[in-house]
Amino acid sequence: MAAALPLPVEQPVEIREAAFVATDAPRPPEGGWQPQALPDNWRRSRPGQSGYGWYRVRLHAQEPPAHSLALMISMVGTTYAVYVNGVDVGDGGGMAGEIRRNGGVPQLLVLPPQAFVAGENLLDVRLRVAPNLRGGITPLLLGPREAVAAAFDSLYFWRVTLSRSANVALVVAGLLAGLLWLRRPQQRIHGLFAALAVLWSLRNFHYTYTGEGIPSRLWEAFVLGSLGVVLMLLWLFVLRLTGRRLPRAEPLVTWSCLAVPLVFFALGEQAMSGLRLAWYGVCVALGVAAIVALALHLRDAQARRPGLWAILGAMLVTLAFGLHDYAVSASLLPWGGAAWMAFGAPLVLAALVFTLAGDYFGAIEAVGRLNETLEQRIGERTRELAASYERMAQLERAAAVAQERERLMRDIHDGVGSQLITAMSGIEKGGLSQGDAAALIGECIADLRLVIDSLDPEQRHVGDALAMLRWRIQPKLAEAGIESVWEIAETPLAMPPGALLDLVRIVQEALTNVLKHAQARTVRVAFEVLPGGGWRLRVCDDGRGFAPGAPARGRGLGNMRRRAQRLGANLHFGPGPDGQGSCIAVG
Amino acid sequence: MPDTVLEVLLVEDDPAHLQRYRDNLAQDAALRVVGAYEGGRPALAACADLLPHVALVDLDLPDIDGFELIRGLRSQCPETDVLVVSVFGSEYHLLTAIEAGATGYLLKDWGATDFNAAIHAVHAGESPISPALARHLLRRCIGMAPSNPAPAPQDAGLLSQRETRILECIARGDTVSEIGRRLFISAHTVKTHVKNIYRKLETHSRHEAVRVARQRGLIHP
Repeated sequence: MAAALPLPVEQPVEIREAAFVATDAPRPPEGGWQPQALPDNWRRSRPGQSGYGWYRVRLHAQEPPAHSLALMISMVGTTYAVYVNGVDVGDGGGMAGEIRRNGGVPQLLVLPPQAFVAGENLLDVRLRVAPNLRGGITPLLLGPREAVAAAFDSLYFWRVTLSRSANVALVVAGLLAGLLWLRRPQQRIHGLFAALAVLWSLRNFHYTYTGEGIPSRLWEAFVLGSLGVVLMLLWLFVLRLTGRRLPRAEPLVTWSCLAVPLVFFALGEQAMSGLRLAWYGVCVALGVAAIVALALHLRDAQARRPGLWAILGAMLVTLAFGLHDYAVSASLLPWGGAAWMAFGAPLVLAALVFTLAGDYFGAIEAVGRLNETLEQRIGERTRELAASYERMAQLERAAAVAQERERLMRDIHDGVGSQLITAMSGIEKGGLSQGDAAALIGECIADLRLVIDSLDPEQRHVGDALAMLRWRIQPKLAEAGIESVWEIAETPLAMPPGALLDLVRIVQEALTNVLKHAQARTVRVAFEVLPGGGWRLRVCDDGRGFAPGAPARGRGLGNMRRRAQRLGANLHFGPGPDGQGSCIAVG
Repeated sequence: MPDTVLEVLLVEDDPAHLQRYRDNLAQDAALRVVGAYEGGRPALAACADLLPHVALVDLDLPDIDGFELIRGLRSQCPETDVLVVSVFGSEYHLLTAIEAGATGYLLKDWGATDFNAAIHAVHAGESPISPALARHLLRRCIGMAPSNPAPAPQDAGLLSQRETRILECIARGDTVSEIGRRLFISAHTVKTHVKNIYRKLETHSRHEAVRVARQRGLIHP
C-alpha cells in the first residue's frame, strides 16, 4: 500500500498512485487492496472484467482543512461514486439501474472541510463498469477548491464547451447547406455536404454526452455505425467533388454502410464490443479510400482548386487523429485525453465549405467573365453589323449614283448630244440657216433644263415633273398661238427619276411636234392614274393630222416609242377622238 | 403706271453674255443700261450713286459671292429690284437668291422679248416662281408639298394660308390666271402675293442671319 499523501490544502496535487480492489461490495473492504497506478484502463489492466471496483487514496492531515477542497476527475468512462472517510460526497449517478456514461466530461466534486479529520483520511472512488464499456479512471486532482475549480473550468471549456459549440455550429452549417440543397436539388453535392455535416456533428456529441434516456444498445449501434455512414458520405463527397463516378462501387459501399448500424443493433452490445476494433479498421480503410481518391485527382487534375488541397490536408489530419483514437481504443496508447477525432470534423467541414464556396464564387466569376465576353462579342458583332450596313449603304448609294449617271448620259446622248451633232454638221455643211441653227441650239438648252429639273430630288411624282414641263413650255406654245390645256391627275404617282424624265421627254417631243408641224390651235395634255394601278398619258392636238410614214416625224416617234418601252408602256399614235388632229397615247 | 424708262444695272463678268444683255435691252426703248460691271464690288460701290430701278446680277462673279452681292445691293439700294440671270433657272440657286433679296430671274438664253418683258414685270411687282420652287417653299414652310409629305417644317408659320394655297396651285402647274380664277382673285393679286412671299423670305432670312450671328457672338445687340 502506498504511503499516505499529505492533504493538499495549499496547492492542488495530482494523485497518480492508489490502491484498487475489485468487488461488488457496497462498502470498501478491509483487505485485498493492490497498488494501482493512475490512469487505470481496465481494458489493459484487467481485460474482460466488468462490474464494481474500488480505488483508495490515503491522505494525512495535520488538522482538518479550513476551507473546502475539491476533487477533479479528468476522465471517468462510467458511473462512479466518491467517499471521504466512508461518507458519500457525490457520485455521477447510475450506481444502480442504468449505467451512466460520463463520456469525456471532467468531473468536479466539492469536498467540505467537515469531511476530513486530523490524521489519516481515506478517499475512495467506486466504479461501476459495464461489460461493453471502457472502465477506468484518470489521475485525480485534489486541492483547494478555487484552484481545482479553475483547473476544472479550463479543462471543461477546452474539452466540452468548445467541442459542443463546434458541433452545434457544424450542425447549423449542415442545416444551412441542406437549405441550399433544397433550393437546387440537382446540386447533389450540397445535399451530401449537408448530410455529412449534420451526421458527423451529431455523432461528435457522443464524446461529451452524459445524458441518460437512450437505451444503451441503440446508442452504441448509433455511435459505431454512424462512423461508417459519415465516412461513406465523405467518400461520396470527394468523388463528386472530383467529378468521378464509380457506378458499381458506390451503391455497394453506400448500402453496406447504411446497413451496418442496423446490423450492430441486431447483434447486441456484447457482439458490438467485440467487433469494435475490427469495425474501426474498416472505417479507417474507408477514410483512406476517400483520401486516396482525392490525392489521385489532385495529381491528375489540371485546374487549380486550392480548396481541394485544404480538404486533403484536413482529411489527413483527421486520419491521424482517428488513428490516434483508434490506438487509444485499442489500448496501444494511454487513455485519458479527449478523443482527437472530434477536432477533425470542424477541420474537414471547414475545408469543404471553403471548397464549395470557392466553386460557387468561381461560378459567379465565370458567369461575370462570360457576360463580359458576351458583351464584348456583342459589341464587336454590333460594330461589324454597323460597318456591314454602312458598306451596304455605300454600295447602294454608289449604285444609285451610277444609275443616275447612266440615265443622264443616255438622255444627253439621245437628246442634246444628237441635236448638237446635227447642228454642227448642218452648220459645217452650210445646209442649216442661222435661224435654224440658233433654234436647234436653243432646243438643246431647253433640253438641258429639263435634265436639270429631273435632278431635283424633290421631284418624285408625275404631277411634279409635268408641272415643271408645263411651266417651261406653255409660254412657248402660247407665243405660237397654241392654247394648251393640262389635265394632270392630282393623285400622286411616284416614279424613279429616269422614268419621270422619259415621260417628260415624251410629252416634250409630242408638244414640240405640235409646235413645229401640227398647225394646231389647241393641244390637250392629259395624265390619269388608272384604278388598277396603271396610268395613261395622252397628248392630243386639233391640227392637220399626219400622213403615216412622214419622215419628219419618224425619228421623234421612234424615240418616243423607245422611251415608252422603257416605261413599260405602249405608245399609240393615231388620229384624234373625232377623227381630226392627232393623238399620242401612252399607257 | 407712267411710262418711265427703267434704269438697269448689269453685273456680268462674261463679255459675250454681257453683250447679249445689252443687245436685248437695246431693243426696248423703255429700258436703259446705266452701268455695266464685271465684278460685284464695283457694282456695289456704284449702286448707291446710280440708284437703278433694276439690277441684273450673274451669280458667278469672280470677286464676290453672288448671294452676298444681292444682299449688298438690297441694303445699299433698297428700292432696286434685283434679278438673277441664270442659265438653267434651277431652284436651288434661286431660293437662296430670293432669300438674299432677289425678286426674280431671267434666263440667259432668252430672246429680247422675254428678257425685257421679265424686267418690266418684276418692276411692276410680279415675281416668277416655278412649280419646283413652290414645292420647295411649301416643304420648308408647311412641311409638305401636295405630292410629297415631309416631317417638321423648317420655317413653320412663315406663310399665310392664302399664300400657302397659292403656292400649292403653282406647284401643281396652274398658271397665274387659273389660280386667280380658282381663288376668285385677279392674276395681278396672285403675282403680288408671290412677291410678298419673296419679301417675307428675304426678311426672314435676314433676321435669321442676325439671330444666328448673335447666338454665335459674332455681333452684339
